[in-house]
Amino acid sequence: MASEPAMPQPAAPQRSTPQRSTPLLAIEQLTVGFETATGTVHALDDVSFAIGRGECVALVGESGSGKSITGLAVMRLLGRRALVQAGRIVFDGADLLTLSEKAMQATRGKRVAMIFQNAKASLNPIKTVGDILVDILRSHHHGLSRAAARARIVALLDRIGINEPAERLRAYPSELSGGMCQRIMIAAAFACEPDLIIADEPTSALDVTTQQLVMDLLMTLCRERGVAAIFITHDLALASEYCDRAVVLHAGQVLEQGPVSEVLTSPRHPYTRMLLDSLPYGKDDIGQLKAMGGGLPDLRRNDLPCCRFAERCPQVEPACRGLPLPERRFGPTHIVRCQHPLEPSLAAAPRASAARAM
Amino acid sequence: MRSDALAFIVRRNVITTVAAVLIVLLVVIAIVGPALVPYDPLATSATEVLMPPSARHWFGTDGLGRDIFSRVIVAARLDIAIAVSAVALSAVVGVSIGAVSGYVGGALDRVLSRVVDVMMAFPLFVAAMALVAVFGNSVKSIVLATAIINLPFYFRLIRAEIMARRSIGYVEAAVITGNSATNVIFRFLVPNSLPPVIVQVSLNLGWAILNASGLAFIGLGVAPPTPEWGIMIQEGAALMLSGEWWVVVFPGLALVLSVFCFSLLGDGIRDVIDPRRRS
Amino acid sequence: MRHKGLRILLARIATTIPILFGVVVVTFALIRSLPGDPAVYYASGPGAGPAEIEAVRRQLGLDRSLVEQFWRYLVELGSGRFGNSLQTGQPVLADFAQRLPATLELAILAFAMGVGTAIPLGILAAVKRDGWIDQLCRVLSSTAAAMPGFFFGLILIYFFYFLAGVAPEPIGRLPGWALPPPVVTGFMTIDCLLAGDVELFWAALGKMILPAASMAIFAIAPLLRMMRGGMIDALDSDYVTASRAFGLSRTRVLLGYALPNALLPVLATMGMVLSTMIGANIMIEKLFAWPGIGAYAINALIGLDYAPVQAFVLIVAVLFVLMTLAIDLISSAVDPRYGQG
Repeated sequence: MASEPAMPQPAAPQRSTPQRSTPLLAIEQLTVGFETATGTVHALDDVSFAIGRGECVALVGESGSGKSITGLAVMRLLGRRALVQAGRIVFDGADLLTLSEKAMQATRGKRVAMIFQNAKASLNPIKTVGDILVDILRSHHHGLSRAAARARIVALLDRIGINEPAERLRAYPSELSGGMCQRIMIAAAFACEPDLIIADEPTSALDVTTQQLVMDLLMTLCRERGVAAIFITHDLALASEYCDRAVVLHAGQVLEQGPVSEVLTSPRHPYTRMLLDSLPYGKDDIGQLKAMGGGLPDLRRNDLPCCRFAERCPQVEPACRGLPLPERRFGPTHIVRCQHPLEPSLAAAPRASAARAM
Repeated sequence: MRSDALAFIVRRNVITTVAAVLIVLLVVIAIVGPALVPYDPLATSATEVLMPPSARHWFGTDGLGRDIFSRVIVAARLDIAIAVSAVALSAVVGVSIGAVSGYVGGALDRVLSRVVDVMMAFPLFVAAMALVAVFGNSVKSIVLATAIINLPFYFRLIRAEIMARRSIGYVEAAVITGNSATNVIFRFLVPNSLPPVIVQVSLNLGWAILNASGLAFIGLGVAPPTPEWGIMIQEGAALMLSGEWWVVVFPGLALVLSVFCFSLLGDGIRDVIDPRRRS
Repeated sequence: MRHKGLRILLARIATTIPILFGVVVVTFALIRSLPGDPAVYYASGPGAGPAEIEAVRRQLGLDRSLVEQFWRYLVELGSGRFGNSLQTGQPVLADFAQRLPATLELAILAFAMGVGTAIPLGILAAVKRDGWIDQLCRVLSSTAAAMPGFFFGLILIYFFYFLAGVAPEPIGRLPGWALPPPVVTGFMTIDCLLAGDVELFWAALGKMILPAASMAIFAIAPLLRMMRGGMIDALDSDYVTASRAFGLSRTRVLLGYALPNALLPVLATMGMVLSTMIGANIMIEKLFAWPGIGAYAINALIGLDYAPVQAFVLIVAVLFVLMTLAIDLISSAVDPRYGQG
């Protein structure tokens, strides 16, 4: 239960420590805005984090904190209203933001795949699942015949334990369950053998038993094949159970990042603390459960404080509003961006994953 | 509360407000216009045939020397009266039947729904033609025909609303506390189902004007020399070949403008009442 | 899957049968309630004397019970007898057969013009949302929705016939000097080509442009709005984002994924569009003196010649029901979710 917070400790000991010198993906100072009728939404502000090969990083935060936007920004699918104001997204040595559309298209699916929250809605409703998967496969393997693509997909579905794969492929998305659709999306994602998978709340729309099944499938495939993953979630328990590191986003700012064993056990940022306090896991009685104070600030405001958490923070002081976020290190990969990080408080910190097992 | 809502609507949509103001203007014209026009809309003049627009005759004169401006203004009353009475009739009857059918259900509902299906099987304008043929060639027939062909839309709309609401808490509470079926339908269910009906009514008015003028154009309902936009266009049709455009264009513009305003208002009301379907 | 499709097909056809029956009942009631004596318009012509009318009355069974009369009406319809027109003195069905091709030729061109304008514009408006094309489309669809085709047609006549002189005289299907080609299909343009007269083909086509454009204006507003809305919904959908995320090209996603889905709501409004087009057909044929069934029916109605009117109502309603059925079947073939709530 009690782990040394200062020691970087991968959650999955069987895997090698990621080489920090050459990350697979490095997001550097990414700032993104959206033009709307009522003003510019300052969606992402100076977001930086990196992922090593084969590493699994959880991107956590409330709804609207910019998790999905970060994912879509990597895919360069933010839509026409989005404006990348600053930053780089370096994937395998190349800045994705400066890539030609053609090269980007070859990267999507083939090198970076993304799966979404609502799998059923992510599948074209008027095509059979098989046709959709064949389309995906063939868009990356030119010259692959439809029959060959189909055979490959059937084999893949079979391998990941989907019963009667040929039968499933003849179905339309509306005829399958949400869990089945998500497993098929996962298969589609791995079919092109990417280096990185971005999973945007892949299980949030599913019921709890299916959730477990789908997460196990996703993470087993990642580990087996050495595929790195960005796991976007608001579920801290899932994050700590399956991921190596966590990146905590709030209102488009990264406030804390580091190994899950540290960040989600002995958080150094008041916001992370607040997130953990609002969870039911490991609490003896309801009195210990605290509701999240306040809400996300309106990101259209032009007078946002430097630390966008300032207005909800119990420890706020003038510096938080006026000074740029500092970067404080509490270990090789544990970075906190706060004027007044918390002292480590081991005793009070419940481990979400431990509680989950109860 | 009410003025708040109004302010919200105005702020939200300038175009809708402009349309609403124009419609008010149109209604005022329809009411007081005939008393104010410079000429008798029926008075012919052998010396002033087909005069182009001038200071004397703002919109010119037609083939019988009648003042087109006066005729366009006077026609507004007839066209708007036809549209309003037809849509009102249609909405009241359609809502009543549809509400009862949806609430009572069973055999009555099945029969009425079948009847409505059959009504919908006739293309609107053809059905209107046939009904005018049955009722005889008069303004009253146009109103009746327009009302009848619109019934199915109100019937289906309110029926769906009622069926969706029948088992909602406040309705069941009303039933349990001993309200009569009539009470439940018309005091609880219908008032709560009205917003989509209001949208339908506002969108319907412009369409009803088009329909009535279309019937008049092909020679049904309104007989010459009555001033009516559709019939004025019809009377001027042949003159377009020889270039006397004003006979057709002014009643045509009046028609287009009023339909345009009604549909803008309809869209605006829909946006306010049902923001999900904002266009 | 296949047998399920067949079951849906049969179910849809089955729901159409009572509606068709209802349509026949309504037209039967229409005849009984029209002013005048049905025996008169089932008689051979305007010259028919009282004796003949009396004979027709007995022959039609107008002295029998309503049920029996209805049965006879069905038999009459079954054998293709719709009565005679007072104005032409011919059997109504023969008059129809003669005029229907003219109507169809015009309607098909009008429909093609409407769809050909509205669909691409709707797609462009959605893809370039809030751009100048989108603004233009908004103005176009609002104006078209308020514009009666007969007024639009007259404006076209003024500009293209009177002012510019590029359009032919807006009356009929052929120029006054021309001898019509031998009737093969009844479609003037095709008959001209079959007769090898290319010059006349262009003349016939030229005659169709203005009336077809006037008819098309009725279809443009609903189609354009639905296409734009459908395309916007499709482009904003999760499956479009997901397909792009899997590396499918923009064009492929646009045409292969978004467009087919966006066409579904367009298909769903097609019934309404067809209904409007049929009404438009009557007004436009009247305006351009086009010798089709719409003008024929309205002239009969004005002339209190009711046999063609009831036949027109019946035939058009049956056609409309069948077209609605076709739309329904296409929708359920394309969309697996169709009709499942």
